[in-house]
Amino acid sequence: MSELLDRLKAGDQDAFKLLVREHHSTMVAVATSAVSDKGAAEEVVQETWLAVIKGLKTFEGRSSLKTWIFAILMNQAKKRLRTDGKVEWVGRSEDHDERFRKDGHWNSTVDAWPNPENKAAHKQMLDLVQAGIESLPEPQKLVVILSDVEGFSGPEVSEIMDITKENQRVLLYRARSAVRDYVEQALKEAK
Amino acid sequence: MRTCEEFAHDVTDYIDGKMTLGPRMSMILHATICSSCRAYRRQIELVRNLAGELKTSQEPTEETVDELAELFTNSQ
Ligand SMILES: [Zn+2]
Repeated sequence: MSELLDRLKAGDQDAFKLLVREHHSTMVAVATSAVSDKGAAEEVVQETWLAVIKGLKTFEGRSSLKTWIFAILMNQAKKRLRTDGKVEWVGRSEDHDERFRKDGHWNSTVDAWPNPENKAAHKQMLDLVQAGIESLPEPQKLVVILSDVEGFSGPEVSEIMDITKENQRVLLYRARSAVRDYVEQALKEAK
Repeated sequence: MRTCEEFAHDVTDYIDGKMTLGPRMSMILHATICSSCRAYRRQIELVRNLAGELKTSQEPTEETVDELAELFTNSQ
């Protein structure tokens, strides 16, 4: 068991402050993406911290502290979506990928994007990627935010979201290709 | 030989370094002869890297930290 966890279990306030500084902003970002509402997200984070405080005493450290906290966050977000009467996010089955011909070749050729040569071009691409992520359906959005934005590993994401590793892999692939398609479309329209 | 569709479906594992040697070699071979898949791989890679730049690096305010710390201590 980690030293930090020992200190937390012993009620060390400085240790808890470390935990808050390390995770709070990421929790707000992930919760905002999960419930799509800033006010609701803050409540979800608040509820999560309360659950963490309560659960620390009995937390056995089978998963990492970080994974455990974010799994609680995800459960709180799901609860929130239910009480708000919104549809809960579920994975969808694989459709036929229409970008390819029957023989597995691209329907139309893929052209390279121009290299972002200066700061302004880089910023433009960054904004497009952000807008592309925003446009994703759940749970693709959550998977790409956890994986690519916040840097969680594949196994961590599947544990946090309570989905299989294969499901996590497929969702990440679809999310990245959808964001790529979004950028491609925007670049074409800008021409 | 791998098709473009198979290439595209595995490209996420490929750029994340999660493929074993055999499949990895067949990805590399396909990319050497297919400019569309080469372009696609670079685009997916760029999307992944740019997404990483969106991470919020700001820390919570001291007020938030203190409030939560107080909750923690009061619950002991
Ligand atoms: Zn190809």
